[in-house]
Amino acid sequence: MLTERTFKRDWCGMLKENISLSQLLTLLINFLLGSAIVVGVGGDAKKDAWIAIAAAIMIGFGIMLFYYFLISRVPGQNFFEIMEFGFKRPIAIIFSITYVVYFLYLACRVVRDFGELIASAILPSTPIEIISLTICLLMAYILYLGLEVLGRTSEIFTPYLFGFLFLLTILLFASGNANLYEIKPVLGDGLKPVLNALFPTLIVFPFGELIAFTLILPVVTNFKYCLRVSMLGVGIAGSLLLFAMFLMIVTLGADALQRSNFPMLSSAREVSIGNFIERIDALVVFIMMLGILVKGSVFMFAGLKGLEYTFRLPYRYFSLPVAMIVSSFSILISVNFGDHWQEGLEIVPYFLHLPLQFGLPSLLLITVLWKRRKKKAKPGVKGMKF
Amino acid sequence: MRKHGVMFAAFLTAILLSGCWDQRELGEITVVTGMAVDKGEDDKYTLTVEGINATELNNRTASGNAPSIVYSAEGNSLAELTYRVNEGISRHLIYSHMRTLIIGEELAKEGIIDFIDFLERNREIRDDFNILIARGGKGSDVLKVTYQFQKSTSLKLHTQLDTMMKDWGGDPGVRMNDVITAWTAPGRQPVMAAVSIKGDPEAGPSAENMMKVTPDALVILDSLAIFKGDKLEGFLTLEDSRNYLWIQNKINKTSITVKCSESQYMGLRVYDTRTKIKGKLENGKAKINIKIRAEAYIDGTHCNDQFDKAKTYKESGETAQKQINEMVTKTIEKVQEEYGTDIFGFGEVVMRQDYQNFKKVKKSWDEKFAEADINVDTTLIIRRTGIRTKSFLNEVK
Repeated sequence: MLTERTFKRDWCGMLKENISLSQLLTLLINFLLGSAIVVGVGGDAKKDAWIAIAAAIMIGFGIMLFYYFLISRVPGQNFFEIMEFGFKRPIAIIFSITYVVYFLYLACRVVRDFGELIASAILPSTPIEIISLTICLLMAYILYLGLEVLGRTSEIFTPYLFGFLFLLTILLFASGNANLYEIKPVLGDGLKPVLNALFPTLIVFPFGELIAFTLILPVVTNFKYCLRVSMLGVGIAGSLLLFAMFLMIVTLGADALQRSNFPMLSSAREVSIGNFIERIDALVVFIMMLGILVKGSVFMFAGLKGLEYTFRLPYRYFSLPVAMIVSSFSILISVNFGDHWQEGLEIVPYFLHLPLQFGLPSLLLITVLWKRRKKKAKPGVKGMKF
Repeated sequence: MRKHGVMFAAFLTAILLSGCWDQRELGEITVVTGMAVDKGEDDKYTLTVEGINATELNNRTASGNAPSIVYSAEGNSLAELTYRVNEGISRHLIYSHMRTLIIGEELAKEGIIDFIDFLERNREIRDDFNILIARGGKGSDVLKVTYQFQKSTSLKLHTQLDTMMKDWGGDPGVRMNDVITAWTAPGRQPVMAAVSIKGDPEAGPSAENMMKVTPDALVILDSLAIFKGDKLEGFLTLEDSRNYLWIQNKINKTSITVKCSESQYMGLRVYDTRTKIKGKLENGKAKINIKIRAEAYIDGTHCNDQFDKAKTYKESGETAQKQINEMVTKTIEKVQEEYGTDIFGFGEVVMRQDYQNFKKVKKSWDEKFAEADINVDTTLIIRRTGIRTKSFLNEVK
């Protein structure tokens, strides 16, 4: 049933959407886990990867704060609208298109990560195109129904995520595959490997990618608590990542961890209790699939919002075509796994993530602050509460 | 319109739900339970696989035929050979339920590191199979021997080694990942259990072999194969294999025989045992301290001990402690002197506890191991004596 609330329309006939705080929280958690838990992050630091992640969480808080600060300067406006506020519409459109391409490219990467996982570990004879197509169709459908549906989907499935992760932990320890001594020696080679893993890979992936939430935060019903909830989300997701990494190190050992394409899956394969409880890969694939679905959808939503801003048409109209573009380009972005891997580690962080996650938003923030300062000087405009 | 909607939904369902290219019906597959890799005659490897005949394993449907089919193919990469064996076997082979991997001695002496990559990389093969060396023969011969209970050798060995490890500890309990970790991580060399054929290998591959009380050919757990890098270095006895497990803190239960007086012995069932190792490098010399703590009960004695007195328990315990110390030290010394390869993972211990010093000797750890000071200290507590206190031997007329 469509209620009165969902039919509220704003300036160009678009539906006004709202998501609740708990939905925001689950979206954040799944988004951050998303592909990070599939491919494993911070592996460069070997045994100390968990320390690198712990440090990254701290920086993640800072990043979230930065984006929140940016959004809260102009209440109720999303990232693209703030760009219009900061620059002029023509310039904002140019930047928006850049961001649309960026977000959709990231959605492609996320879908490709998932496709590679399924194609190399679960269904080798199924064409990766089909896997990509099916998950993109699902995303298209979810986004056609709107952000609220995405929020509810992630809200419903998140308890399973926790349940399965908990179960996996119990099973790994129960089957005796988790050896806590693997974690030693802590910081044996000093801080250097940790810092190498941290900058810039861990900062931009997954925490820097929170920039997509600059389009979701403005539609949260209770904006007052938004910051607290976002911080909580980053904290929980970060801790889960940290815990997952810890689990992978103690099960696989640092060497096997580095060799694994999908370390989480490899550690789940280790579980074998009494020749009876084994082959529980499905649990892990569920965790990954949920993360990928949410992360892919959020990126796609961010891209759609950019199109909405540019063309002044409701973003739902674009959802199916854009999903199909993402589906095809998830295949076309790289010829093989090595290509995909190398691109993600050596090119994307420097040429895409850093300028678009921090460079441009910083510029925007400075402009917005400058403009607001000028406005504040005039009487009658209330100052923004932070 | 509604009709079209339903048809469209049905069409989509048909496409989306049936889209599994990887399905295999049970009738189209043969499950591989064992794999043997030997040195090939012309090419690098000979791969032998054992495909199970499921009807013969079920008591109700078995008709006394051969329980499995064993076929060999020769080539340079296992990855290709696993499919090439279909030149002799009709159905699609499923490797995910593999129970044992047997490596021929000749191949193991030359180095086995190459083909393990395939096993680690392949998505079907899991890390839950026993990895064994066929001592003094070919892996393929071991795979062919039949057996009464589990019928095929690979299944038999899997059960047997498990039992052995739980009850006495002769199987080191290594899996593929342990071997790979031993190769890659500094401070440890791999070991594997070794099996051999007792009797006539020629008589192994027949259903008649299963029907005899004393089979003509029987695969037995023989010894512990130890490696230096990826090359087979030598074999240790089963006794050493048990001591090895003890050092690894992997012993569940075991039995030891303690000499209590001249040609009289006492059987001790050891349970609940823990081993802690401390290691460090002092002036370039490794110092390893092994602390074993164990509980035991008397499981038979030839001596006239008064087991209703606490003092007797203590004395017997001390004798046993001394013997365990000697036993374990002897095993370590043997490996130090004869092979100089750190199968016990003392290097790992030193690495974890004294990383800064270990870094300097990382490359030449095995030499450090060969001249390391080893100190074994056992605490054994005898808790009870079965359901008798004094032995009747005392009161025999």
